[in-house]
Amino acid sequence: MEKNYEIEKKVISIFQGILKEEDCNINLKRSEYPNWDSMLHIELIFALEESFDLQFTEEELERINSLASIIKFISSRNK
Amino acid sequence: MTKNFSSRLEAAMSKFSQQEILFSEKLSRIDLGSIKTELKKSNLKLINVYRNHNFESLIPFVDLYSSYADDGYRFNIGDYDSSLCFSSYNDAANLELVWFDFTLIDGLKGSDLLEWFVDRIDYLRVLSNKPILILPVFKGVLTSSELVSCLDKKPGVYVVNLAEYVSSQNSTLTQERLYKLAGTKICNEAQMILARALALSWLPSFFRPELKAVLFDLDNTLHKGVLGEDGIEGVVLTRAHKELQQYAKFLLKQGIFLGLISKNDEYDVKKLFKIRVDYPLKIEDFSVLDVSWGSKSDAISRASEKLRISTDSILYVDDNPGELASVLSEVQGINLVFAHDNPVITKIAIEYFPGIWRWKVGADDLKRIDDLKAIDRRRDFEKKLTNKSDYFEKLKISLDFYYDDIETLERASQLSSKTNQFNLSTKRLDEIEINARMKSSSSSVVMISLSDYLSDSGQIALVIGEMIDFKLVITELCISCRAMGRGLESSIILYAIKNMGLYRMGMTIYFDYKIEARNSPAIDWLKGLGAKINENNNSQFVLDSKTVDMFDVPKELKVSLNGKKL
Repeated sequence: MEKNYEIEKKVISIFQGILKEEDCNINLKRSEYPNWDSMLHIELIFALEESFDLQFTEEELERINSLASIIKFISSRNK
Repeated sequence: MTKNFSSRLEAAMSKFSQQEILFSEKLSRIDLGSIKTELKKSNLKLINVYRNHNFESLIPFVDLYSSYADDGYRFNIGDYDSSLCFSSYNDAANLELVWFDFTLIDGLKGSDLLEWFVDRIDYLRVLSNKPILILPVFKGVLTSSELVSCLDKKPGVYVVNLAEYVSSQNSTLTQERLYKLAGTKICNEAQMILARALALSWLPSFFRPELKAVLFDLDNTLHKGVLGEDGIEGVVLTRAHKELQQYAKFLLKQGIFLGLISKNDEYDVKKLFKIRVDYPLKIEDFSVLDVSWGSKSDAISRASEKLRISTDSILYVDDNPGELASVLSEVQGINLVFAHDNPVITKIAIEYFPGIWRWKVGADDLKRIDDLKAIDRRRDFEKKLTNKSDYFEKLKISLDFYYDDIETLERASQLSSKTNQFNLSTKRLDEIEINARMKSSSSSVVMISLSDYLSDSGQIALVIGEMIDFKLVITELCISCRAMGRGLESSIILYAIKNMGLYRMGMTIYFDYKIEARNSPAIDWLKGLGAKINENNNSQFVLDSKTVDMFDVPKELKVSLNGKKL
C-alpha cells in the first residue's frame, strides 16, 4: 500500500511529465493550467490509471478538476 | 564504415532496443512515451478520417509506430459526424478511413442501419477512388459479419472488426465510463493496440509491398540454447519459443515462405528436427534450408535467388546483433528483426512488421509454397527430355485465359502491385482501377492461370489492353516469377492479346513500359520479339502486327478461354 505522500509525489511526477509543467500546485484548478487541455487530460488519466493499476469511476472522472482531487480519489482506494 | 552505413546501423540498433517496449505483451502508455521519435517530414501519406468518436488520441502512438517503420502519415480529421456526410473530403488523400462507433447511433437499427451505412460507403466511393478502410465499433446494434458480408465484395473496401481484433490481442475494446472523458469508449490499451496495427499493419498494406519470406536463425531464436554445444536434447523449446514456431507455421499458411539460415552442421540440424517431435516446425516447412559455417549474408542472397524474390521482400530474424549488422551492410534492402531473449517479443515484432499483414489469403497465395517445391522436380524432368514440345506435352501444361472476370479482380491487383521482374509498366493498379477497366468496353483485362503435371501455379499473369486514340495499347503486363523460366511468356501474352475483343488482324500493338531496377526480364522479352521504341512516344514500345497475327500457342499446350477448353 502506498503512503499518501508517495501517491502525491508519483501523481505530480506523471503530471509534470505529461503537461511539461515544472512547477505545480496541487490545489490549483485544471482551468488555471493553460496546458491542461482535453487531450492532455485524457493522457493524464490513462497514465495515472496505468501507473496505479486502477480505474476511476465515471463519477470520479467527472469530478476530477485538480491534482488534489486526483490524489484524493487514488488515496481513497488505499483505505 | 561509410557515414551512410554508420547512420543506418545506428538507426537499426536503436530500433532493436525499442522492440522490447513497442512489442511488449502488455503495452504501457508511460513506457511508449519514453521513446524519443524523429517524425518523418516528407513523403507523408494523407489520410481522410471520417469519424463519430475521438480519433486524435491515437495519433501520438500512430506517429511513434510509423516512425519505427520509417513511414509517416498526416490525418485530415473531419468533425464528429454520425451522419457521414464526408464534408471534410480532401481529394489529395491517399486513403479514406471511416472511424465509426455504431453504438452511438440512435434511431436506425438492424437492417435499416446496415442499409444506410452501406449506402454512405457507396457514396464515399463516388467521391473517391482510393482504398476505403472501415474501423467500426459494434455491440449489439449490428453484427460485424452482416456488415463485412455486405462490404467485402466491394473493390477497395476493407473492414476490421475492432472488438474481435483487440480481443485477439488479449485486451478489451471499450468501456462506457470513458466516453464522457475521452469522446470515445475505446480503452487505454486498445488505443495503443489499434494505433500499432494502423501504423504497422493496416496502413502499410496500402502503401508498401508485401513481405514474401521470413528467414530465421536457429540457435537462441527458434529455441533456447546452442545446438552445437547443448546437443539435440539440450536445446530447450520454451513455451514462448513453441508459440513463436507456431506463429511461423501460421505465416506459412498465409503463403509466406519460411527459411532457416544457421551456422551449424546441416546433418545436426536435420537430425534435430527429426528427433525433436515437440517442435511445431518441421524441416519440410522451410522452403530454404541454408546451414553452413559461411556468411549469413551470402546465405540470404542464395535464399533470395532460390525463392525468386528480391532481398527487400525478405525479413531476417536473428538473436545476434553482430550478424544483423553484417547482414544490414551486405544485403540490399533487407528487413531485420532482433530475436529478443523473450520470444514473445520476437513473435509480436514479426507479426507487426510492415508487409506481413494480409487482408485475405487466396488460393494462389497458398499455391506459391508448393509451386516452389515443384521447381527442382521440373528441372529434373526437363533434363530427361530432348525438345521443348516434348517438355510441354509430357508436363501436361495448361493455360487458362479469363477475360474481364470479376472473380479474378483481387489476384489481378496483387499481381500488379507485387510483381517486380516481369512487370512492363509497373503501374501498380489497385482493385478499383482494374475493376473500372474490366467494366469499360474500351479495355480488356485478361488473367491467366497455369498448371502442369507437377503443380498448380494458379493465376500467374495479368495483361490489360486499352483502346487509346484508336490504338490498342497494352497498359499493364505482369507475369509472376513463379511462371518464369518455362518458355511460356509469348504463349501467355500474345495469346491473351490475340483473343481480346479489342484486337483486330493487322493491328500494330503498343506496350507502355517503364524501366525500373528489376524489370529487365519483361523488357528483354519484348525486345526479343522485335519490338522497337515508339518514335512518337518514348514511354511505349511498338510491335509489328504480324508478330501477333501469326502467333499460335504450341499445339502441345492445353488452352481454355473463360473456362471453355479449346
